Amino acid sequence: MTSSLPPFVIFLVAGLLAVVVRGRLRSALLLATPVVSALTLIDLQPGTTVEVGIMGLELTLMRVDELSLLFGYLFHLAAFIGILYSLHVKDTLQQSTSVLYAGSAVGAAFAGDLITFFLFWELLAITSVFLIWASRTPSAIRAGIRYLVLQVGSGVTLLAGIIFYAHGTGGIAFNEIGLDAPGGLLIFLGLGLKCGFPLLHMWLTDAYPEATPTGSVFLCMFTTKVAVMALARGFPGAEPLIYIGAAMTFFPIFFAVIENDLRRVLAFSMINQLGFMVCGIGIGTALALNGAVSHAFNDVLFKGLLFMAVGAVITMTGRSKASDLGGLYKTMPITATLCIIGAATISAIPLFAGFVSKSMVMQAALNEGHPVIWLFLLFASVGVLEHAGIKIPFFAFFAHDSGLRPGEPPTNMLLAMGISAVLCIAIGTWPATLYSLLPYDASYEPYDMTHVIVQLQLLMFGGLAVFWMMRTGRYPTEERAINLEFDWFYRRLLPSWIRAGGSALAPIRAGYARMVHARGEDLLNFLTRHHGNTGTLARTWPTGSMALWVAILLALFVVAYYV
Amino acid sequence: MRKAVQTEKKRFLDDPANVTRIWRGFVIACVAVAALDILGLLGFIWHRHVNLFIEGLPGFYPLWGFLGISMLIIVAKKLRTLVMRPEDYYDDE
Repeated sequence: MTSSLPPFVIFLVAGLLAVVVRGRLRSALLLATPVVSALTLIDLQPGTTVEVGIMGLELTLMRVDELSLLFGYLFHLAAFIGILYSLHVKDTLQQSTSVLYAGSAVGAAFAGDLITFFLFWELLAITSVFLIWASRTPSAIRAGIRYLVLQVGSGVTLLAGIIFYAHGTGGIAFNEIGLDAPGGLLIFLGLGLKCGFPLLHMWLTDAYPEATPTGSVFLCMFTTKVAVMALARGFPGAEPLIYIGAAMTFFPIFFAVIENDLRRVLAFSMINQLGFMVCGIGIGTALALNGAVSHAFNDVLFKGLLFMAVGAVITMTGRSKASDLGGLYKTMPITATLCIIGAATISAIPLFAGFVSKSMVMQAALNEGHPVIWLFLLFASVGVLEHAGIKIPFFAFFAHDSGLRPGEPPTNMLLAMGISAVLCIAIGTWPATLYSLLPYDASYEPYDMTHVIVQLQLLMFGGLAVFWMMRTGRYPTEERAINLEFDWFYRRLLPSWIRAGGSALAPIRAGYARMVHARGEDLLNFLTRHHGNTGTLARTWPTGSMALWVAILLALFVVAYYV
Repeated sequence: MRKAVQTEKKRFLDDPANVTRIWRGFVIACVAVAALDILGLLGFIWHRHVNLFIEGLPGFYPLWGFLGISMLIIVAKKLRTLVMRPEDYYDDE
């Protein structure tokens, strides 16, 4: 229709160029990528499409509507923050793949048909795994392989669903799909895996903490948000999502309380936040969907900020465990302050961004008559305060003094965190700009006296409980230990079954081996009897006896001749 | 990275008495915020509007917050007995 350039092209070209250029030029190229690409977004009007025909398929490489624009802006912003944060890293592998990864997310956001979406969905998996492998430790390599298997599994499930869907409906346009559509359930599960549905979430808590400090910042910003966008597009109002979402907000917070690795705490926290979005998509009203997508927007900022703060701590100290950290506020006061802003935002304290988006989902749950779900969400909201709002900044920067005296991280890291922190406060204080970008038609006013007061009551008394338990020794101590999670089933139970299966079959194998051996032995004995050292056919004969036999044969021959 | 700690100046938070002061201040602030419920009940300064009956009960939000977190932490501690393993648990992979 128009000659617009799909924005992902700029990212993909820059990602490949980053391999060949070096030094400052590479830094400038990377930093310019999201800026230049964002400039192309400015003129885009909803309704614009870019279509290409490949192998008899009419693909919609770009379809602009309000939902894709919102996520388009978001991924550009996220890419800029992530690239700025990792500007000091001199690692071609990470620098190239992180831009390709961001570009895949942008491509997926604007994908107008399911085939295009699938291609970017797989590209997300393939590019992001390098951010885990870039840690270059044996455990990161293994976690990356497990991550890739599940991510590609999600892609295969999605593709199977798309094939059924295209066959059943005769179209591949990516609009509302619904669970009853042919292949709908497969598409739903494929998207659900990357969205962290319970029991499909293990890749997230397993692999994100293994990524490089800068890599985990990129990881937390893109994959899961693409999944949220796709669910909002394909399955708005699908009722199971309400319960799936509530479960996602609920179970991770228990693990987060006892987890020692701060990045793993954030990974659990991420599933919890995704739960609010999934729940909103399931409720499916305009208010709930706006809540879901605006919370995804804010989550990129505040979860990104928390991952950046913990990443800064890891960069400066090489440690990420609560038991090894503490007291860092003395020499990292700026990082500590920025971390607290992120923590306040995720806890949905009034005037911070989390407050203006999460409450839309909560309000929608009440409006649509889900009081029990609402109580769950309310409980999960206080749970967030405990593990992300208090635990992360407290154990990293305060708590017991670890004796570590690292300095502040490089300026580019501080700047990236600063941008996120400013946006967290700006969106929370003046939500109108974010609200004007929201794709669905619903009005909402977060700042009402009752809402602000009850939110403060909820959070302050939650905090009161935490600090009371800490002061009275009831709070669980930081243990140098890991906690088994659902990945145990395929990391321990399944392999042990395979081994057990091997040993159960052992008698049969042994019997078979005995039989083969016995038969072989019979054959061997037979051969030995006749051809062996003492066998009839292997006896040594005196030369004379041969001459005798020849003479006898000759005699017999002569006799026979004359007869 | 590690420097001698003893030569550092003492920070405000290094003194347990100051931490206790902050703690007391926080408890007072909590009580004050909870007390707003009474004003709301009287329709003084702010008027409370609710969606659910229990939500309108005075003290609902403070109690939900306090008991919710307490329950969360107690259950999580129990969860540890089930799932906690040494750090090298997966090292033989």
